[in-house]
Amino acid sequence: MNKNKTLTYETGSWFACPGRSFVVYMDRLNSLVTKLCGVAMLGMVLCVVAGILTRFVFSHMQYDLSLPWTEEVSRYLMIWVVFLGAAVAARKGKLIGVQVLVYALPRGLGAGLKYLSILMSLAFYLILIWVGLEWAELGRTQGSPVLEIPMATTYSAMSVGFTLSVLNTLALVYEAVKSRVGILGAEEDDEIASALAETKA
Amino acid sequence: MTGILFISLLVLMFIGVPIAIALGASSMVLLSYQGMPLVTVAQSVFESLDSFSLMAIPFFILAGNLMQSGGIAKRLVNLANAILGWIRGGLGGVVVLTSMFFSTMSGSSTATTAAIGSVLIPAMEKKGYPRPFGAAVAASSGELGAIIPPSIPMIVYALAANVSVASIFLAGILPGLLVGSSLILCTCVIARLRGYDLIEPITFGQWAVGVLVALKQSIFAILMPVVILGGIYSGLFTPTEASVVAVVYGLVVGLFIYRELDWRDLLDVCGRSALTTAIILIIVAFAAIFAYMLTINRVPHMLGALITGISDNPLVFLLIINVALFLIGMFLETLAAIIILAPILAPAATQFGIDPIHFACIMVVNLAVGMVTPPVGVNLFVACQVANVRMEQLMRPLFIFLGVLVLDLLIITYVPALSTFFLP
Repeated sequence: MNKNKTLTYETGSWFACPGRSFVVYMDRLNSLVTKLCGVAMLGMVLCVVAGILTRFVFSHMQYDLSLPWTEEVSRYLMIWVVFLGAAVAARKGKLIGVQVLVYALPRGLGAGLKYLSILMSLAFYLILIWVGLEWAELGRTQGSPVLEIPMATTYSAMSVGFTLSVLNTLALVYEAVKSRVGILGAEEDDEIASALAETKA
Repeated sequence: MTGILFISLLVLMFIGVPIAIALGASSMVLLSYQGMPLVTVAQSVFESLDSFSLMAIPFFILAGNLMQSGGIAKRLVNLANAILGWIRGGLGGVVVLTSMFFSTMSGSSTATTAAIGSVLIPAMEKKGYPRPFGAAVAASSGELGAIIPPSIPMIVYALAANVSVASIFLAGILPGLLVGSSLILCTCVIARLRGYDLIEPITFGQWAVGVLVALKQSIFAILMPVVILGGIYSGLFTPTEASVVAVVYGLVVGLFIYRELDWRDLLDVCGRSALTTAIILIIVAFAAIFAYMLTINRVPHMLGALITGISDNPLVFLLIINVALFLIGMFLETLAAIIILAPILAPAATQFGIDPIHFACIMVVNLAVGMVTPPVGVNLFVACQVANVRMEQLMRPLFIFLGVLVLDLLIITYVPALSTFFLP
């Protein structure tokens, strides 16, 4: 049992406490996914830059060269970034929500309400994983307009992302229960956290 | 029937379910009630995300973060200080002026508040300003991030209400200058009355030399808005292309010119920007299905009819809307409020003969005030943390600035020419 208030985990304690190593592995997975999203952002930048360059430079040199695929690839990368990024954000409860009531109520009642909202979110994710699979199935035979890659490669982002969201929400709840900071203390606000991260760096 | 939609949305939102999920889930409740397939949700979500215009949001977020890590913020502070530092109360004005410069590159208010507050609040304290006053100035000038283009709330509004991003950007220029100059004036007057900020007189020559030196150091930072906005207004770039130009500019300046950014930081900044992007765009995605449900159930039309029933005077309509938005802004995130309300209110405003771009300006300015109104104001939280003051200490100085912002809002509302001046 982890009785410390600080959230420290050790690896290799799989047998001792499976839940704790679940959180550790989720955090490793999340930092990998965050890096992937960062790389995808750079990919989007490169694609759009390539699109602009071909439009400006080559059209001036009288070459008839345009790269319509750059726009398509960047849009699909963005879709993956949105679903994967939202899933990583779920790990610390960073998705934007209205917390006035939850914090205004007495602590126990507020926490109860928070758990109810987490339960609702989990139900939503599970339904949408299923809806997303159905939609990806429809996109299996359909190709993208320019590159003709199957749309299922993009459409599956929803089911994959929300599966990660479910796992991350479970990790959040586990951490909140075990570390005794409580569900209200385990959450962070992305906007505030990232604005402050910049100034400390 | 649409009652189900709104009741489930409000219940979910107030028990603390993330807004994106509350929008999606309440739409799904109505969809299944009306016997429509749930796969409509997926269709609408992907349609809304599969958009080139939307990509301006991640790029402006990334550009803003690059600016901040790349050393541009510091140089802007120096420039603003050289321009305004000689006036009594000038340092307070410097905070506002730096926020204005910063807003021309970054679309985010909290980033502006944090970056500028952390540098200038300690400096203000040294010159005799109380810390809560400094924090209140930094928080309220964060409002400018949403008004002065490029602005993420404006892009979101444009997509939600189907108007041109470039036009809203143009419309934001004069209101932004109005809000900025009124805040500068207000800090100077208060500083004079309270006796903050003692300065030594300088000659015009010294001032000019100081400004030129600072300008030379920050020339790359100052040129950036010229490139971005010039590119959009001359029709050379679309807003999305301009946003990617901003990213490349920020990269080149940070990596090669000021050299305050290294390659290792880069992936970190990109990852952080990706998360912020996802948190905003997931709401945009699920707002699309919500807006679709509103439209097929003719909600904007009914709302228009309801308000016409009270009064058919556009001035009264604008007053009602402003009061309602102000109250909503106290509790709801700026972006979320824009995404949910723009598709409902914009058509109603058109029925009253209000210019769609002018209305866009009113809504964005109003809901951005929500970032500095208690109890829920992200800028307040950030300012409290960088200044290390408690929320209660912040309240008294803040209310003066809130008064100024509300006055500006009323001017922007009832003088449409401010917003439409640059429009063709």
